[in-house]
Amino acid sequence: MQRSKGTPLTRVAFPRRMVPLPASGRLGTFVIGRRRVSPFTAVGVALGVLAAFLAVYPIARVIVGLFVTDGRLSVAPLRDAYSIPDFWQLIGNTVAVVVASSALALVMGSVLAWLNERTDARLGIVTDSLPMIPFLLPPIAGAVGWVLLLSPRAGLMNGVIRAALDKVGVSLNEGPFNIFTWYGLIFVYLLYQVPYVFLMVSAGLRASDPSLDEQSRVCGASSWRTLWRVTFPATRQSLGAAVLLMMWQGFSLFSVPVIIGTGARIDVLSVRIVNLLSFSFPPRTGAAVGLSFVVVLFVGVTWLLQLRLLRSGRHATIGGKGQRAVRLELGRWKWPARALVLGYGAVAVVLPIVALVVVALNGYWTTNINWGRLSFTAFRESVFGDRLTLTSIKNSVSISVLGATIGMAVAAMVSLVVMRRRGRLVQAMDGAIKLPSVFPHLVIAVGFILAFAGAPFKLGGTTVILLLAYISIYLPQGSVAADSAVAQVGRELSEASHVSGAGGGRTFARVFLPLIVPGVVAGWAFLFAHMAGDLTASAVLAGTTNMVVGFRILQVFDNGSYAQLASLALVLTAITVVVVTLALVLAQRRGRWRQRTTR
Amino acid sequence: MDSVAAPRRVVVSVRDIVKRFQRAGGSVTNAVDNVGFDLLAGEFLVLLGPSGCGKTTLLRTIAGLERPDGGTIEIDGRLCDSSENGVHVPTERRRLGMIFQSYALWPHMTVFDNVAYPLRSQRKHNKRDIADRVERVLTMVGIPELTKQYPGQMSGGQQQRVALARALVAGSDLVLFDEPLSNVDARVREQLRFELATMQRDLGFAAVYVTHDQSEAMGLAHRIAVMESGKIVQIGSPREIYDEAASRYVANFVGTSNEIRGRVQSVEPDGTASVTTVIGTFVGTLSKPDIAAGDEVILVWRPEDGEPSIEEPASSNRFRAVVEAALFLGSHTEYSIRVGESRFRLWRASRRQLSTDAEIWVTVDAASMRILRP
Repeated sequence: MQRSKGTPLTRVAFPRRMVPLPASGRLGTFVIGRRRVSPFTAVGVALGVLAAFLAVYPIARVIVGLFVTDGRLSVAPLRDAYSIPDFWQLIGNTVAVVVASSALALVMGSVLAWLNERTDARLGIVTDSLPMIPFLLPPIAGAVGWVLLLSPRAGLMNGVIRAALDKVGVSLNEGPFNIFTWYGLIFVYLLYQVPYVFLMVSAGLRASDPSLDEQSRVCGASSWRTLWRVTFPATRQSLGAAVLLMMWQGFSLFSVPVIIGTGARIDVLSVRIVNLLSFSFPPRTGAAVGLSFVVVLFVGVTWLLQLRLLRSGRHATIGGKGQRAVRLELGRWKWPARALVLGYGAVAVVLPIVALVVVALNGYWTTNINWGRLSFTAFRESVFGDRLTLTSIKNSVSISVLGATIGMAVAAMVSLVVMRRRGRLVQAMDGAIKLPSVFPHLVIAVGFILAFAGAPFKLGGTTVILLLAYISIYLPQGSVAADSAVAQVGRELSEASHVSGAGGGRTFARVFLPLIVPGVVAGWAFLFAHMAGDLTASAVLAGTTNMVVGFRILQVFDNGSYAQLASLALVLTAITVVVVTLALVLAQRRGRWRQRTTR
Repeated sequence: MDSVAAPRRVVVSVRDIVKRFQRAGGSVTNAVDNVGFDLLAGEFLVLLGPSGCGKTTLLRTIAGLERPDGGTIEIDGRLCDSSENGVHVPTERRRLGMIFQSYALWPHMTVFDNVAYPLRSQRKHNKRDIADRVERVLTMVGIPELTKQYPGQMSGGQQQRVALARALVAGSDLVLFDEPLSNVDARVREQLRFELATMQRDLGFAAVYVTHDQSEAMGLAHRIAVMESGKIVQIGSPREIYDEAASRYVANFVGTSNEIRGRVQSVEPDGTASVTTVIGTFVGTLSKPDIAAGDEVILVWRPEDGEPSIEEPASSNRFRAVVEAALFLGSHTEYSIRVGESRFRLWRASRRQLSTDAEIWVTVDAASMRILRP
């Protein structure tokens, strides 16, 4: 399917005029520059330009906001940020938490990925689905779950451990563990960093040529030596990508530090930025923008390092297709290895969910659970009996459905246009849409406040600003999903359709759409889950007039009960799991022809 | 295999086609540079050349997937491209068939749906009619039983047949091929090539076929057009291309050849000339009439045209050489022979061996020795 020779080098001219062409063209043909463009492409370009504006404008406002205050050049925001009394403390805390958790995650994630990809410890769908975890169990639910488990006095797990210790004669009043500490904070960060490493390193291992490893074995190196000298070094690129992802995610992660960091009195950048914007009166936007700049700076530095790593070119060469490495037999280490994988699953998913369920059903948080009296009464009251909570759920679901649908439709159309014509305009548009992916969510949310909250748009406090922000923030991921779905459909498949007498519309409906549906639906599920579970942008942009689940969770955390918090986190998890599963099953059914094919 | 002389309908007429591409640096290259030819009904034309010579671009221009910057294309007497008049009929209305490198069978449709697609696109056939036509064309290409299968389940040969059925079902008698055999392995490729040639001769459609593989071109074509940097440098039957290469480029691209530099001594009226070289004086056949005495030329001959002998032969076109190495290749043996500083290749049937280091005489017939411009 590759076409190296005939790749068109022709360029699309910038649209100087865009008029219907009545003369020799068919009805509804447009001219962009001097080229004919189908209505389909015209709509795709228009939507793409709109999405690009949505992506670039808020970021531009943040950058401009750094240097321009009230129409004059100044570095006031940077000065404001720097004059925060604990400025260096904030940076130190954030760096410590992110770096410590990332370093640990790098080791753990790589080991898990290697076990799953290259050894016989793999456990089918159980180990394959590890990277889905942060996707299905929003970090806020995990953080709340671990607070319920390991809070020094009332923590359920602490209670169980104390009861056990009591039996052997050791009696404790609190502990032995405390989640509200540096260790606790780093631990929960770690749980959510591991999947990124797992995902990237698995992909790297799958792509790298297993014969590199085999060659090392042939040269007489032991399995361990091969692992450390060949296998992992060959996936350097993936490790670099994982570090970048973790920095990007870690610096703007808000849900975990707001729950655990606040209790532990450890302040980090993301929480402070939100506090400056949403919980100070008047909002200290300047200082928030200044702090956002610090976040961008850190991510930028990581990105530069990653680029150097890529340029060094000493990473894995991608081998031919479908090469499958012979799995290493672990022998008596097989079950310990499996226990490690399952242990991560238990700690990251099962335990927090159990805690959430127990507390939600019990109605209040205590170590003395009366198992016989668990009921749905408290759960129902705190979710369905609460008007604000209900509104927030309704808003979140509708915004996420709408946002994911719009996002994937735009992403798919743009991907198609990008694949067909590689002009400067189209490339710039594609790059612009993907730009937000290099900025932390928090920074983009701040940009939306600057760009759209005030005049002339006056969208502050509306659901529209949330919808737009979600689309802008998560469109890059949707766009990448759509790109890979579209790229799988070789250009020849659509050209064959034209040769067979079908026009642009029919080709899209009969050839492209059925082939990209599985990929697009998977992307949709991803966008939905992230939008519904979003806390970062919601914390900045939502309020009492545009209540969403993320914001409601923060409100309940501030002045509600832990049972209510647990119920809400559970509802969020349930909605995500149900919608994502439905979407993926649907995609699977539409893609049935895949299973029947033998190649 | 020679093209039939009787006057036949012209299916495709290509005149002065130019297609320019802008390179990343901004410079402009002519991917297709003033190309013209006529394709007759039932004729199999192969566009042959190395990658980057513009053959695929030319094919895609005929299909309407690229728009030419100059020249005209007529298909079945209908003007499809004329940059002067601003005419460009889109691909979907050119009524032709095309078979892509990957076959481009839609993986989500059954064989039936794939083949019915062009008919359904026309929106003028009812269900019954479509079913009949699909069944007929699948029988024609020899796979009537595969209708409910998906392309992913089929062998390369079956996929090629489905692609051909899809190209022919709407009644087109022109099929374009874009290197369809280039990504199957050698053994299968030979079988598919044979099948394709047989089906084309039986069904009688006209074909334009792009390839960089000269043996594929030889096996399939009625006529071969050899291309070099966007231009057709020679067009003719496979025999003409092989035996009467018009240039060094064609001689080297099609088959293997030996070369000796030399200077023309005298030109005879019968189209032959005698040429002095470092290994002696030879009589050869002129490729172009404008070569005159005193010109620098290259003598080209095929490895199978050299006749070795131990005894000194009576003929004049001969030289003395030493056998350096022998390479047994099954049907024939390739010898590397040396005369002074020059090395040549010689192919002989394997039955009679020449021993290495033997001193031999080699005779090349004047008709087999072509005189080309350097």
